[in-house]
Amino acid sequence: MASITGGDLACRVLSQEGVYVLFGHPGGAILPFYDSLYKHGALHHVLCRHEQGAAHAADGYARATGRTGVCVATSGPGATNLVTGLAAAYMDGVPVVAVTGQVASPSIGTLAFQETDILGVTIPVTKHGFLVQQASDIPSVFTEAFRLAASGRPGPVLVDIPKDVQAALVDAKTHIFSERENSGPIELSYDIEALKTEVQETAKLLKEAERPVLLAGRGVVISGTDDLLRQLSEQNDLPVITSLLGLDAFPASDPRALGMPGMHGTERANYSLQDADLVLGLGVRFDDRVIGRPEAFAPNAKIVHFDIDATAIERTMRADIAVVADLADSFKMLCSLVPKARRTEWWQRIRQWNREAAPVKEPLTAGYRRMGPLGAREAIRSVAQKISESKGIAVSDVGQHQMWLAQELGDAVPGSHLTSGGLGAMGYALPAGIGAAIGKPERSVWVVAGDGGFQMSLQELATVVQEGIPLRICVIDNGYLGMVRQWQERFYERRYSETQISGPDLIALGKAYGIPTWSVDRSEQLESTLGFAAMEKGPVLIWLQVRQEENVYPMVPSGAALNEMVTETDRVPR
Amino acid sequence: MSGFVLVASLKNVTGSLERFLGLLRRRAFPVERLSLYHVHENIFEVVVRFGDVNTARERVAAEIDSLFDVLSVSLPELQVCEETREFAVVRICRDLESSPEILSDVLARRSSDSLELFGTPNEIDEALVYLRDQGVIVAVSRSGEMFPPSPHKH
Repeated sequence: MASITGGDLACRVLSQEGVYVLFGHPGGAILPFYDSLYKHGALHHVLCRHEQGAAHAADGYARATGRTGVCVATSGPGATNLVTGLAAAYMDGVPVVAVTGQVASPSIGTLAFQETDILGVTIPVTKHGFLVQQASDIPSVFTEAFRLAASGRPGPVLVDIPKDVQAALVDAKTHIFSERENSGPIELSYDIEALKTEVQETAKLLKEAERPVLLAGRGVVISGTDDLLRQLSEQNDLPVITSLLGLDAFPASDPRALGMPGMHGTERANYSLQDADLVLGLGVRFDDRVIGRPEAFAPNAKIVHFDIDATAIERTMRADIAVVADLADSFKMLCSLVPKARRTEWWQRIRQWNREAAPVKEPLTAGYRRMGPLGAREAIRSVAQKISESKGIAVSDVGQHQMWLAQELGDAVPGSHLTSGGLGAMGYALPAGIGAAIGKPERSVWVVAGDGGFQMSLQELATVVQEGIPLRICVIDNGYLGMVRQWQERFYERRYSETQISGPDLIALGKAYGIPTWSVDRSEQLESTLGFAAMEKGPVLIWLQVRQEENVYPMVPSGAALNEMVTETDRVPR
Repeated sequence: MSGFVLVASLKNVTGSLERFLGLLRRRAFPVERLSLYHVHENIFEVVVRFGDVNTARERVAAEIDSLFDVLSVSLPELQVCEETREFAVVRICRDLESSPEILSDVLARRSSDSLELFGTPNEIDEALVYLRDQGVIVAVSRSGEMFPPSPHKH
């Protein structure tokens, strides 16, 4: 009988699932798997320098490609280092399968070296977890894990494999080519008649509404219904507001795009929501950063919530109608029922709230040069422009620059704006950018990080170099943990407790890693430097040293209603 | 919002119970009683009686139903919930001198050092209050409530 090991079997099953790249870091309890990987040429392993980087890279790969990302780690610390990355994927509905080594079965529960109950640790941040108890279970477990990760609201699934199970011999023929009974996504079952009724009621509400808005989230991106969003908006003349994770669901240049809502949303988006008589939420989870004070959100509106995830309904916000189904089904049904309309009066009203758009969105005219110390928003506007010009993928970290980039981002197709929205995990951008660049090698990938977040994962520069990944990495360095400092300025009387942060000389750092690096600290250098950087093959590092105490506006203070936003002109007097 | 009973069928696989209980803990749902028993090979039935919950019972059910190991969730009507039964064994420090009225419906067996009670959870509660007042209880073990065979599934 020809035999293969559990590790061999796992590699073969991963290939069967269409996986060709893994992001990971080896260790003792996952050695048999890595030994199999060594022999299995169809899988490319990206050696990340930290397991958190591997999880974020798998996440970035998944968001950019729409396929399930895979990360691998050993037991104990290797596995626990994955947790932040898995939590980020869980919060944002990103399909990731995490494979972890576990100590040998007889040692489980004995506090063995590098033993952690990773299945238990990850329960709150995964859709599901499996402990593989015998090698022959590997095909069915992996098949189930991939189905589950990608079905419904996608998310991370953990597969924990004890070392002895990875090393165990199984009959090659029996298991490699076994019938996969449960292949394909998990079918969602819903009552079609009930769904039709709910969608018809929604269409009726839309017909009766005088001030309706569409609020689109990442669900539109995941379900591939961005074209339906454009169609519905156009045929019924509907304003479209896109959450941070839905920015790539609708082009920013569309005349019906109102931008992002919420804490750092645009005035026109927030005021429109507050004045609306109908809010149609599409694959959006009405999170606290979007709705402000829940009881004050859209006070005059009926709310209709379309989501694939039944648990998202009324989690934070009332729903007058809840349509729990795949948007690909429900949204299509809705579009067929909604007539053409023109909403002239509503648009006149919205345009009154457009006052902040002009100075912010003003394009840089030819020959225009600002002089003087570099502004952070100014720098990001130029970076955003370069991303648009190259039709690139924007990967932002977490903090002020994330919000500025979201406000300045140009047209983006689905999978072109990646950020850790729900968890807000600093250190996300660089490794997620690695994943995105590997998944989409034909596209230019721009990582935008603050100096705080960049220092949380800069070890992955070595991964970038080892893999030859042509990333464009922009570090917005203001010497502060900027968003926290902004809150300290506004709400803690400028007591800047532990937010001033030093960092390395990035020119020297770039040199150390062998990455071409530019430094910019004046406005007049910006355009030419970004131009050079954009033309380089990559990787490149661009160190943007900006003014220190610039704030993100508009801002809705925590616990306030969306219309109680603070704008640039309401700045705290100095 | 008043309490309610939820019945879930759960796969008996590694971590399934942990995930089920973990959800109840994370969401701070007030569990008053919980019982679990095998109904088929590799399938548990879990009965949870919740106290006053600030969340709609349908939402609690949706969250539990979203767990991969949960095969089905039902919310039996109150009338059905009143048909649940429970078994309790009470170790006592001295024998009761007589058989009081309150124990008449629930007393299944008695000996000099223990009483076995069977009835609705409320009846068991009332009997235990009485026995505590009498100062005879040393220890109590309760089975948790059980439904008669699958009436809630109709």
